[in-house]
Amino acid sequence: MSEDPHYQQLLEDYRKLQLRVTRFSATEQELINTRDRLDSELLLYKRLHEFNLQALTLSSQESFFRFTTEYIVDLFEVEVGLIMFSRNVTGEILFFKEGNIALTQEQEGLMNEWGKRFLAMMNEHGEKRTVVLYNQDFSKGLDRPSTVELGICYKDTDPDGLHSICLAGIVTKANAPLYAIQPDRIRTIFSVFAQQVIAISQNRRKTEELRKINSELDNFVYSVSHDLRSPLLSVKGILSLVFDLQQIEPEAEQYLRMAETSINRLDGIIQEILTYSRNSRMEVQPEWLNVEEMAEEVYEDIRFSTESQVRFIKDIQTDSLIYSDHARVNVLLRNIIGNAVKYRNKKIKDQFVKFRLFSEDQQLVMEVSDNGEGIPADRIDKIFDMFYRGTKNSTGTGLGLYIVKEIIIKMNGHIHVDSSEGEGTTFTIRLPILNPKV
Amino acid sequence: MRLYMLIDDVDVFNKVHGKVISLADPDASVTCFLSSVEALNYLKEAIRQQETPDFIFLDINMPEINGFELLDQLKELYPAETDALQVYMLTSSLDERDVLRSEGYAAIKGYYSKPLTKDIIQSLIE
Repeated sequence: MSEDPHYQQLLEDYRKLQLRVTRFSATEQELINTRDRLDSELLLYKRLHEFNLQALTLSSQESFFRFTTEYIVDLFEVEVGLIMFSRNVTGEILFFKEGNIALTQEQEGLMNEWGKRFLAMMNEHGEKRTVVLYNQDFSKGLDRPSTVELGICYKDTDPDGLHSICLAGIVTKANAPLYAIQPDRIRTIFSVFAQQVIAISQNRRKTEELRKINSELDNFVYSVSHDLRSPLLSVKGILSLVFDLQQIEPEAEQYLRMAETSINRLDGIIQEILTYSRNSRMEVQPEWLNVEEMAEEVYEDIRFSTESQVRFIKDIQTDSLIYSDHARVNVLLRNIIGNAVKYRNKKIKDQFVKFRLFSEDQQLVMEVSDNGEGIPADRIDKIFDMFYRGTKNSTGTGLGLYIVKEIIIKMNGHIHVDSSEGEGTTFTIRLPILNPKV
Repeated sequence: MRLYMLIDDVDVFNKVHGKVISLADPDASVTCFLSSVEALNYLKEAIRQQETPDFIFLDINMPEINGFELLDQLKELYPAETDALQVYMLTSSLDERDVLRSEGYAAIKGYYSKPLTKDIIQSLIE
């Protein structure tokens, strides 16, 4: 009997199978061990047949999933991430692929219990270890789930990586025979999935178009501002040469100074339009910055250009290293501290600007107070309006505080002003404390 | 004698800046270039002859090749010599990206907004 090549082949198949298939029952094992040819052969045939049937179903389902996934990737150019794992009958994972998974709670609701457990494991242990752990979980006999589980998620290739959506579907339930898988069910899962992919990819296309327009506009504003500025600056240079001449008629100098003022004003407007346009189109880009140093630099620059004697007082009550948008915070300080210096009370001796920094209720508070001219009560509501200038002595463009307000809105912050004419003004800026992504 | 090199496609700037330099530095010898490509060729030759200018004022936005491209092309041929140059960007650009980009060049020793002033020249000579 042992020489029978046919039986040898069968045994070999069985041994291969045994590596992968669940244990035989004690009676079955005994049957095989006794090598009663007829019974044992029949049993092995039966087992092999079952196994083959399962493997066939398994592989057909698997290729269906693979096909669908690849098809969707090709068709919609969407990066598809997978939590895709199929198992043989012993619960070993045969095929596994991890995707980039970030789910909202709502999307997690689409996953079954095992998908969630798997995801939690993956977050905690990483891909390779998870497979091991998951298999161990099975061997402990925890309500023995499916023989095939396939999950799928896709990540929108938005550069910000903000939209990741996942749909994980379970194909077979615990103890259900593999050939009971309903192809219709899988198709339903995938048609829902495909619809979502279509919707997302359409959205993405629109977002991309918008991004393109934005970037074109950015380049346009950039080159226009550059082209507008360039001749202005050349006139400025020429004027500086004129003022340097040994002989210049006082009246002529007066007119040319007026021309210089106008040029500076026009240049200021161009610069502010650029700042405004940047703020409205660019996302907040937080980074680590030292706000104390920044305020000091801003103050020094302004003091230098206005040749003022204003004192700068610092009161730093929190870590001055903050995580925020460098360019925007700089514009805020430049405007608020700049105004404090510009509208100082020239009639008094000890002019000061006080910069206070503290945190309160999860917010960073920057307070700039001065003992300057102050703002008349009837004008205080208008100071943040576009092109509004509160004083006839204003050399500004009327855009500064408007831009400040727009920046505050963009940064989800808040600004408050207290002022009394002749006594001084206090601007209080509150910005949410951001946490850098780890 | 200090050698100054001005590279700007706008003639008025070269004239104004040249005048500012000669007012601020009596020992100045100024060479102006309207074409960035010609300026590049001049610098190649200057490096070969080991007679590089003391100060180079370079505009960013220019036809043919811009200021950064000029430095890139020069550095490809003469890396060490290019880094050792005293280049000062002189521009009417308000774009932060240009400032950031400048920081990546060892050759660029400063970044100024137009127009050039006597104060700048005096601080450089000191």
